[in-house]
Amino acid sequence: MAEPILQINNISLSFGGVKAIENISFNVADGEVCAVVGPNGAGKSSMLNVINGIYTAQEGNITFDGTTHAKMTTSVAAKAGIARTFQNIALFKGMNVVENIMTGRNMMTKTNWMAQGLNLPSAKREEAEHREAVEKIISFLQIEAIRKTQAASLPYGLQKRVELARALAAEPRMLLLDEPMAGMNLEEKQDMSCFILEANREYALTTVLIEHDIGVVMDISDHVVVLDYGKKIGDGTPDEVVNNQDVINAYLGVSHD
Amino acid sequence: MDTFPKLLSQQAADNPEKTAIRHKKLGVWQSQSWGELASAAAGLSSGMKSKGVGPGSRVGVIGANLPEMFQAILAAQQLSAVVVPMHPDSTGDALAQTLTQSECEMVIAQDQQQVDAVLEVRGQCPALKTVIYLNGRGMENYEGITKLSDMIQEDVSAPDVSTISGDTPAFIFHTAGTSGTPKGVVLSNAAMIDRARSLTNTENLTIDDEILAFLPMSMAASMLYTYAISLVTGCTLSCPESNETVLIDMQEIGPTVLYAPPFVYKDMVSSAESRIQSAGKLKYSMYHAALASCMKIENKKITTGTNIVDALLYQLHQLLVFAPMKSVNGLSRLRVALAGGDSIAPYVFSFFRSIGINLKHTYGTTETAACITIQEDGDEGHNVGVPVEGVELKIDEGSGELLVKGVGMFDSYYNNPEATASVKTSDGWIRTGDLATYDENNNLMILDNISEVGLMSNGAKFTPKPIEVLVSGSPFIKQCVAIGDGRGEVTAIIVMYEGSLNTWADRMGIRYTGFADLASREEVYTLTKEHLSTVNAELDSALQIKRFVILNRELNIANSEVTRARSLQRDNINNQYSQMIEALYSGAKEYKHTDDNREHNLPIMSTT
Repeated sequence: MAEPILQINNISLSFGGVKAIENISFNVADGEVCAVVGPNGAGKSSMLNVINGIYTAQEGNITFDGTTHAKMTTSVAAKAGIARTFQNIALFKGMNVVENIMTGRNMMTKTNWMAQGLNLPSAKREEAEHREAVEKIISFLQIEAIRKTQAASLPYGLQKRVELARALAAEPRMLLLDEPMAGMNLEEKQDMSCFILEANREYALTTVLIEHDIGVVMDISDHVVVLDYGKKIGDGTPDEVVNNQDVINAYLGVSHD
Repeated sequence: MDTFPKLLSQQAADNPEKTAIRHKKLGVWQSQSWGELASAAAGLSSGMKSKGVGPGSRVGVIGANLPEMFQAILAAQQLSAVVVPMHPDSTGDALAQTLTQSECEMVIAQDQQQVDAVLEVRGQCPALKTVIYLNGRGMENYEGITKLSDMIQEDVSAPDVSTISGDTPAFIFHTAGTSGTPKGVVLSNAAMIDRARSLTNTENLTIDDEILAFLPMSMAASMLYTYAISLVTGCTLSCPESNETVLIDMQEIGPTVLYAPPFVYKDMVSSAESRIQSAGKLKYSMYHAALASCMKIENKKITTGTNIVDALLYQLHQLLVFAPMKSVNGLSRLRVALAGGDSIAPYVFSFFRSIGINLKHTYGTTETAACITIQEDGDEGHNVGVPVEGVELKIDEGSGELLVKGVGMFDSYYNNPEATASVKTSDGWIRTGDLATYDENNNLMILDNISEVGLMSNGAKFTPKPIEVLVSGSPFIKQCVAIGDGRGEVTAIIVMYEGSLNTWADRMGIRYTGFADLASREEVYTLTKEHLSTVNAELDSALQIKRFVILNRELNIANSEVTRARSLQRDNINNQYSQMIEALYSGAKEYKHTDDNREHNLPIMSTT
C-alpha cells in the first residue's frame, strides 16, 4: 500500500443544528481511484467541499501531501494541487471550450496582468505554452471537434468532459470529481470511465470521486468509502464494501420478515 | 513512371521542399515535404523488410487517413508488397474474412480500437504474423505487437525501386458486397497510375491542387483520388484531425479537388437547407429566391443559352448569397467536384451547379480502378459522361450490360479464379454488372445493377434505382426503397432527414416529441406526397409510386440494411420489412411497426 497522500482526520461539519458530517476519518493512497458513495444526503458533496476548502469543518483536520491543515481554504487547496469538478456544471457558458480550459491554467500564469494587457513577448510566449498544454488535454479527451464551440451550446455529456479538461489543465496532483457521470447514458458513462482511469494513469493523479452508479464504482475504483447520514459505515476495497452488512442495509433497507 | 515507389522518388527529386502531406496535430497543421516523406518511407521500408515483408507479401492497413498510414503504404510498395486497405470500423467476422481471404502477413493498425479488433480475430488468421500499431494509448500491457515508430530504421538510403515493374499488384480492395461475399480485387501499380494520369489530364490537375483525404482507405476511389493523384501530380494531401472534425478541416484547407459519393453531397444540401430554415426571414427568402433564379438560369443554359441580364443576375446571386455559404462550407476554392459510386439526385446536382460549383458525375467500379467515365465540363444532363483516356466501352446487345476494356483494369480476384473468369470475357472485356445505355449526345447513362432489375406482373421492366434517385432529390428525404418486382404497382419506403425536417417543423409550428413521432405526422406525409407527385410526373406510368410509408428511423449499417457507401442491401431489407411491404399492397391505412420492442403506428398513404 502506497503512502496516503490525503488523510481525513476526525472531520465534523454542521450547518446550525444539522450535522452534515460526524467525526469522519479515512485515508486516500497516492495514485488510487477512491470512490465516496452513499445515499442522498449522506454528506458526500460536503466531504468534497471540506477537502478543497469550500466549507470549513468545525472539528478535525486534513493532511495533504505531508502538510496538515486545520483550516483548508480554496486557494490553499488549489496551490497544493487539488482540482475539482462540480455536480452542477460550472463552466463559463459564454466562453468557448478552449477558453474554458485555458482558465484552468490560471494558477500557473507567471507574467502579470500588465504584461498580458500590453501583449509583451513574455506574455505571448507564456500563452503559447499554456495553449499547447491545453491542446494536449483536448487531444487526450478527444474533444478536437468542439474546440471553438461555445460551452453553453454543448450537450450535457460533453460539458462534463470539458469540465474534466479544465480540471486537468491545472496539472493537479489530486482530482475531486463530484458525480462525473450523473445523467449520462451507458455509452457516455463508459467513455467517461475510460477517461477517468486513463487520466489517473497518464497524469499520475490521485482521484476522489462521488458516484451513484455502483456498477461504475465497482469497475473503476481501487478503494470505496461509504457514508450514510454523515457517518462512515464502510471503508475498503470494492469487494469488501459490497459484502459489508451495514452498507447493504443502508442501500437496500433492512428486511423485516 | 509506372509504380508508386518510382513516383515517390521522382517527387522527392523534383520537388523536395514542396509540401506532400499535412495533418493537424495539437491544433496546428504540421507539414511533411516530399523529401521528408521519401526518407520516412525508406526508414519504414527497411524496418518492414526486417520483419519479413518482401515481394508479394500482403500488408493490411486499418485506420484513418494519417501521414503514417500513407508512409506505411509507400514503404510496403517499395518492397513490392501488396497493400490491403480495410475500413477503420471493420471488426469480427467481416474483418477476419478480409484478413484470411487476402492472407495478410502484417497488419498496421491505427490505435487501440483497431488493434483490439485485429487481436480478437488473430486466431482465425494463420497467415498473420505481425501486428503493428501507430498510437499506443491504453495498450501499455499488450504483448506481441510492435509500435510503428520502433520499426523505423534511421539513416537508410532510399531503396532501389527501379526493378519493380508496373504490373506488380499495388492494392487489394474488397468489393462492398451488396450481394454475396466480398471479393478481393487486385489492382496493379500501373492500373491505378494510368487512371490517375488520365484524370490529371482531363481535369487539369496540377502540383498546386489541395486534396482532403476523408473517405475510408478501403474504397478504391478514395486511394485513387488521394494517394494516386497526389503522387502523380505532386499536390498536397491533407489528413483531417479526426473523423468528427472533417467539416472544420475542410473549411481551413479549402480543397480544390473533391471526390465523394453522392450521399456526402446530399448531406451538404440538407444541412444548408436546415441552417437556412432556422435563419431569419430575410436570409431565408434571399436564399430561396437566389437558388430558384440560378437553377432557372442553369436550365436555360442548356436549352436556349443565357443572355446578359441572366449572366449579371447569376453573378450577383453568387456574390451576395452563395459566396459566403461556400466559404463557410470550405468550398470557395473548389475547382473540380466529382461524385461517383452511385447515382446522384437531379436536385442535388443542380443545387451545386447553381451555387457555381462544377459538380460532375463519374462512373466506375472497383474492378475498373474506380473511374471509367467522367462528365464533360458544362454538361448538365443526367448522365455519367464519356470514357476516360484509354478506355473502351461496349453495351451487350442482348442483356444491355456495360462491358469495358482498356488500361487501368483489375488483375484478378485474389485467390478466386472462378470469379475472375466469370467477369473477364475471353476477348478481354470486363463485365460491370450494370445496365447502361447512351443518351442523345452519346453520353453513357447507368440505369441500374442487373441483379436488381426485376419484372412487374404487368410485364414492365422494374428498375428501382432511377426511381429512388428521383425521390431522394428532396432535401427532406434521406433514403428511399422502391418496391415493385413481381408486383402490379410500385410502392416505396421512405426515410426523412432528421436535421432539415426538424427545422422545417419548427418553422411550420408543428409540435412533436421526437423524430419518430414527427416522421409519422400528417403534415410530413403531405409534404412527402407533394414531392412524390412531382417525381411521378417524370416517371413512366408503370413505374409511378402508388403508395408509401415513412419509416421512423434510418436504414443503417449495423442492421446490414445499407453498405458503408450507403447503397441499399435490398435482400436484407426485403426480409426485415416483409410485413411492412405486404401492408403496402394490402390496402391497409396503417402498419403496426415494432422496432426495439416498441410499437409505432405508421400511416400508409396513397399518392393520388
